[in-house]
Amino acid sequence: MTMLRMLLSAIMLMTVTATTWAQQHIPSRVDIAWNRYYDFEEMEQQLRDLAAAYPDIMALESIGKSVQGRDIWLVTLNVEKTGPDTSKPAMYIDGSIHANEVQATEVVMYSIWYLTKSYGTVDAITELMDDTAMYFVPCVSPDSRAHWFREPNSPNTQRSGQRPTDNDFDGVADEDGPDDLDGDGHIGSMFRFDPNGTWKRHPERPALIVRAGEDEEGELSWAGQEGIDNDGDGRINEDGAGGYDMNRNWPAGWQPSFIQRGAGEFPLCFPETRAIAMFILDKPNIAAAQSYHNTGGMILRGPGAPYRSSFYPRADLRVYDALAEAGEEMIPFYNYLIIHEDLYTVHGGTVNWAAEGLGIISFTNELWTTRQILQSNERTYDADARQRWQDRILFGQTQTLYTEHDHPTLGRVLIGGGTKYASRSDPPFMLEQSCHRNFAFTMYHASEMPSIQFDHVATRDLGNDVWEVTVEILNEKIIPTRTAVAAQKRIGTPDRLIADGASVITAGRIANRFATTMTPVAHRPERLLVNEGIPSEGRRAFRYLVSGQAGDTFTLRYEAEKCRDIETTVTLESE
Amino acid sequence: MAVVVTASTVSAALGQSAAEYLNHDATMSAARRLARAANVDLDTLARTGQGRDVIVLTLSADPSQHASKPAVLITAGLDGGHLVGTETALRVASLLSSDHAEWLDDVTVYVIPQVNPDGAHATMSADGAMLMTGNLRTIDDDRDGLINEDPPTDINGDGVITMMRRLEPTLDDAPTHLADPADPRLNKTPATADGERAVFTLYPEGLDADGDGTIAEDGPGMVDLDQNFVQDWPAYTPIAGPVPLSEPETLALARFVVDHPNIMAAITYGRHDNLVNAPDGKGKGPLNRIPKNVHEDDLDLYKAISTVFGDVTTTAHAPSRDTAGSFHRWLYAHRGIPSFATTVWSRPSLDDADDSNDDPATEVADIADDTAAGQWTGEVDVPDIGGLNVTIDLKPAADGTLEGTLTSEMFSFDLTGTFDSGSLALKGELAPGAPVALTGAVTDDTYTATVSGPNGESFPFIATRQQAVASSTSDDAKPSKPDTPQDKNGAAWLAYAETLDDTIGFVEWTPFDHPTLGSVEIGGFTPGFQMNPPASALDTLAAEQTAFVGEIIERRPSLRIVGPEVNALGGGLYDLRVAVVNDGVMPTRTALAAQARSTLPMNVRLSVPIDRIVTGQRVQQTWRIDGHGGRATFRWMVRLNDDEQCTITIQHPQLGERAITMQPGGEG
Repeated sequence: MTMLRMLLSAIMLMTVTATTWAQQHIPSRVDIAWNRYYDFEEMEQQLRDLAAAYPDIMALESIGKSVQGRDIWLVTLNVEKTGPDTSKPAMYIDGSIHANEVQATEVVMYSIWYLTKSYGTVDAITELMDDTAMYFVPCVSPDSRAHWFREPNSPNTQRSGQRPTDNDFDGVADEDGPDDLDGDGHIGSMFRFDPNGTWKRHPERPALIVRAGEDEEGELSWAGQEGIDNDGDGRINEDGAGGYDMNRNWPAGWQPSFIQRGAGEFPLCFPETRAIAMFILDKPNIAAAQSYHNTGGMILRGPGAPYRSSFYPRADLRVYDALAEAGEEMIPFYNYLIIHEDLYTVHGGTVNWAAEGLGIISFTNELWTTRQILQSNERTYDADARQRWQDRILFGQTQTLYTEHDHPTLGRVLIGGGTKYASRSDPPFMLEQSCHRNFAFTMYHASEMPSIQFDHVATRDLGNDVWEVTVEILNEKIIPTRTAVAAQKRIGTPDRLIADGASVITAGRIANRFATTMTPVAHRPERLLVNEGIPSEGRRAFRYLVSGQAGDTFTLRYEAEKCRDIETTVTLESE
Repeated sequence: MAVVVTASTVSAALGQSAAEYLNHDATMSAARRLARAANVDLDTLARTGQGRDVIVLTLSADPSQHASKPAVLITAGLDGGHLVGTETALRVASLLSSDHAEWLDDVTVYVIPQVNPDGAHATMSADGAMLMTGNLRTIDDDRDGLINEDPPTDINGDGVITMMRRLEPTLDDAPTHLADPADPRLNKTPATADGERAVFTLYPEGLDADGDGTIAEDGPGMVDLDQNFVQDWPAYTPIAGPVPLSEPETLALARFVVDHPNIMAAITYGRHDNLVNAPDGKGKGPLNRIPKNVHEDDLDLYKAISTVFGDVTTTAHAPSRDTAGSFHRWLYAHRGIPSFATTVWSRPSLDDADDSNDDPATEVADIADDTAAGQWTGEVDVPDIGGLNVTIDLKPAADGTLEGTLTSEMFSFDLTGTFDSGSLALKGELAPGAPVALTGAVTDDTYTATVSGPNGESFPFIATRQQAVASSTSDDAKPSKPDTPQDKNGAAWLAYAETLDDTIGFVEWTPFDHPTLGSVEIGGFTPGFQMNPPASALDTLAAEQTAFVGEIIERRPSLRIVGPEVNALGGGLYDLRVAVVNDGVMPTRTALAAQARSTLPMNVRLSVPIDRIVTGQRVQQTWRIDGHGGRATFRWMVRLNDDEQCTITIQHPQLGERAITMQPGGEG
């Protein structure tokens, strides 16, 4: 069946390209609709189908097991015929470290789907994939994604992983989480009847509870998330599933949990974060990173805390600004922001580690903002306005009516307020567009990973069998081969310019090809260490004095962790 | 409890015919032999990179109940060169299991004798030639894209890797030292005022195999496990690992600690010490939330234990080393566990040796706080070279800044610097064009600094001020007396070496023709001489450390339940009260643990349903109970039927679970 489908797809590709091209439709060997969400098991099936359909460019592997034993899936997109993945600059892309931020996984899956189907068909994507490798973790928190779709939940529940955690320090873990008391499959809000309350039911709209006006009497007070006091300690919902934040568990500015709530007992203490960190450490070719979250319509960069500002030197900020400003243009209603200045303080986030610990240019996108629903940046919504688009555009689909129930300790309560899809996820009809625009932004990021070439190689006969060799290396991309933070903190291995087969007398850097003097290195001139790398959209020049005779040749090789190595043969000859 | 320890038969109990250092296989055999006792269990914590096991011995009168007793954790062998720690840990375990089995009735002792078996194996295999501090994880120490290409090497084949004096330095390698006239075996920096002149430069023994101008900077391995923990982890330093707890050994150790909330105190045998030199409560760590050393409310505990340690051991002095990323620092800073560290052994004090370097307390009294001038000494751990003794002499310059010199066994250079509001910044040049900078803070005559080297390398350094600044009228450094070597610490070690039967410890300087440096002399102290004592001392040291464990056990928190008291208030209303009293000396938890909530609190829960509890929480918690009779009291008012029973359950990791059932109506 699958073979037949693949064959048909292949024939279609060959014979109908002209037509589909005209339609701007690129068929995939795996049909996936992007106007809906998929649970963890469905996501796994899509991954297997895609890997089977595109074996030449896609590899699927499990890099570890979650707390409950699910696979942490890693997808490598690499065109083998243009070299192994580790020989190319690579981008790392993940989603759903906070599993309730569900559309993050859809964006990552869409990216894999779109790239696989476009390779060989869309020239720009073919070229990008030939030149780079990409690593995707579509779901960092598999257990919680499984839980979120399977069990009653709210837009905010299952942010944590599922490792049992004793949030109330009573010696028992996860014994008092929310309960679906009204049986509607969602965790809503509870209001108890209270003559002194400050809330009231909306006179016309049973899906709304609103604040009582100044001159009005309230009838309700807010009683928290839907649930009961399961452990009988007098508190409701104080120890639900998990109770930590894997996006505070990374070794960059990590702080213990009394300073940073949810940090875990030490960095990378969770199997999910540790597996991913070990994978990333194993791939020094990663030059760009992206994590997907929701919500708010943001393109975020670090630092997460003010005392980490020195990890973002000015040269790197120019790179971040250039990429993110393009992103703001590509994704309407999204704003480019700094985590600690514009959002809140984060110690030990994933992208903070990638950026500050590993010197990788890294962003977090917060998917979806209600600005998108009426396509306006200016409007703000009061309850009535909000209700209008809920009614007219979403047909009230994510709202649940408030209904009365007997609560074991609170008496009569109203339960309702919205489904788990209510506030943080893209409405299905807008999901595909969010997937595509965010995917396009990350591909722009990927396309600006460093790519270098010998721009100028000149030899000059100084007489007495001594030759001067001048070399300039150009990086056309926005991201340098070594970020400024990597150079300053001495992260990873510096770039190397290696002269093979030459009798090098001395060598060193020069300001540019026209420089008349050089500062030679004291030792090992045939192996120059270039800690600062080749800069953003710029050149770096080197000069050698070698002994030899006209016609002698040697090899110059520039090696760098975060771009393809380049090599050229130098022939000693008079200009 | 009277603590009397005898040690004569410990080595025999460990299966040794005579006292000797054990290799890994023999260590494992000894541990397995110990585990035959009914009060010892052996478990495997981790498998190392080279496939060796990291084990833990659980000592308890009833090992099945170990988790509900307050526990002491003894950890050794994080540093693969610190063989004395592993030997001592095994002997302590043996003594506890046999001679002091009664201590294990109420207390569990976990002994992890060798966290770094791969490093210890490499050290033992080198047969005294060198120490392998870290594990054998391959790293690129000098970050040049080549691996382990320039190791320290025994180039003259005398069986040990020591130091080299380069006798004919080239013009860009200015001589820094001369043989000390007071003892030519020792090196000194020249006293130019006395007409002295430097003769040679110093290097570790090795080649510059990769031709990068640095000798022996990229040897085999390694990640230093005792720099791989979380508190002040030295990021961007290859030897500290790519991330904290990157190694199987350290991850397993951290996990073990987290999984054993009954640990009430920890003792670490290694290269660090906070028992001879008790920590202070000054300074704050990151974000001003974690104390730099010890929370002020935990100071008394640390001081008391330090005093006890002085009473029961002969370890009289200890080096001040930077503890960034160390296990024992993490235990306190992040887990809140009282964490004590000792080197186990130090150089015995000799009557005629000048020990002033180790006893700053007698000399620092008159130092003004507003100047950093004076003589500072400390030891810096340089990757692949090891510990270097460093002396910094500072005096005020005319313009209000500072000037002086930095000297070590290997180099010497001039310094300039500034001192402002406790921050001391110094810079100099190791060689022309090779800048070195020290930046850090001075607190109470301790300078905690980061050293940045010419190749961007950086490592931690702690120095202690040794003597008051000379009055401003004295402008030149005092000429050293010919009979007093400049390197007092080295002289004391030499004096000690001479008391030993064998001529161990020091290799006389011997001429050698070095392939790239030309004429050199090779010699100096042997690796490990200043760390590991002769094996004949091991039994005595173990007896001392066992006595110290006994003292900790004696001071353990000891919880006693008082009550419950029941008062019938009439109308089915009852007032219930219960107290938990700590009869021990130590608090149940440190003040830092209570603040950080790093381990479980005491939970006290009442069985009465919540709708009949009039006052009081159904589950009540206490994070810390002081020693010396400190108590936590719990009170409820409840409605009960006459024939109704209720139960108070008290849970604490050091107590297990206790339940008290009563029938208030029936008794009233």
